[in-house]
Amino acid sequence: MRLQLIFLSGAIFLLQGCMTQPEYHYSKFFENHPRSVLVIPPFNESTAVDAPILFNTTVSMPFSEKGYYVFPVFLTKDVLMDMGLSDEGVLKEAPIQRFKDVFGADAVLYITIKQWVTTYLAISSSVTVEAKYKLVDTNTEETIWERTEEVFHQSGGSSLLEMAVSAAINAMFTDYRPLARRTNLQVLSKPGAGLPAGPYHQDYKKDYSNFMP
Amino acid sequence: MIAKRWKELVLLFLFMLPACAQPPIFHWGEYEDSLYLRATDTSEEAQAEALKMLESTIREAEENNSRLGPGVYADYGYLLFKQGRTQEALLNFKKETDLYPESKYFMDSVVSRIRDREKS
Repeated sequence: MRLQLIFLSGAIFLLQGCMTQPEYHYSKFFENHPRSVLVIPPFNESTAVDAPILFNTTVSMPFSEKGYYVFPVFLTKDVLMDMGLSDEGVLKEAPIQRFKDVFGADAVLYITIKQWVTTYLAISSSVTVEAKYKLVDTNTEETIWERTEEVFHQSGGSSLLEMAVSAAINAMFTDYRPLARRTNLQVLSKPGAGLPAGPYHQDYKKDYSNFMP
Repeated sequence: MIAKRWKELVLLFLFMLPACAQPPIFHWGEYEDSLYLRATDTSEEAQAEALKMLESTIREAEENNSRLGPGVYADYGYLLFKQGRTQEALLNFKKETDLYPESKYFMDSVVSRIRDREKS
């Protein structure tokens, strides 16, 4: 009996451990809810040279659909270049104030690509995209939302021959964009951790209760 | 054949699920593909193709009275500007501002820079 009790309490203890979710605080976000987001061309920590360019083409749609005004992708990129802010190192160090002065943006989104890779295993291959998102308020210069998201897709054939064929095709042409899109969608819509709806969304200022710890 | 394909179908369905959850707020047409093309191919042909994609995207939105996504007019205008079609560019920058007041501060500064350049 006593042993059973110990087991039971142990089980409950473990269960609680699983159920505890990290608490995210949105008070700073709600205090000064941004209307517009300037997406800085992504930083790259992966080994794929073209990852930032490709990733950058997938960001503005999902963030706009969340209800925010997202600045035009190409005009933004070239104006930053004009400002001498095309280099990753320089962009990282640039004062937030400059983005406010030039663009009038309420918030700046920094994206860091952590993984952008295809792994070939014995009988299957997998593609992984991982990115870190950091949203900074241009008025207070405080980080108001920071998340890391990873998406993984495994494709494997049932026969070795099929596998060899698909691996060869993949090696020539892996389209990472569907995975990048899914990374964006997931990070935006994660229950209790996603991005609250912006002014163009019907849930604007109505979904705050979803983000209370 | 079907038995072999069902896995792909389920996968496709799962892919589409988050997108289906709510109808899109904006009309996007081929905007994302135009960005991809401009980013990966700098040839004149590719730029012309991207211009066409944006043209039809904008036409669709205007014909159906649907709201064009943020940045589409502005990026289209910018492409026109780079091809020397300045007046059309300015018109599209104005449309971006009218549709999205959040862009006014930035678009005004872009327009005044273009005007300054024209004068000199």
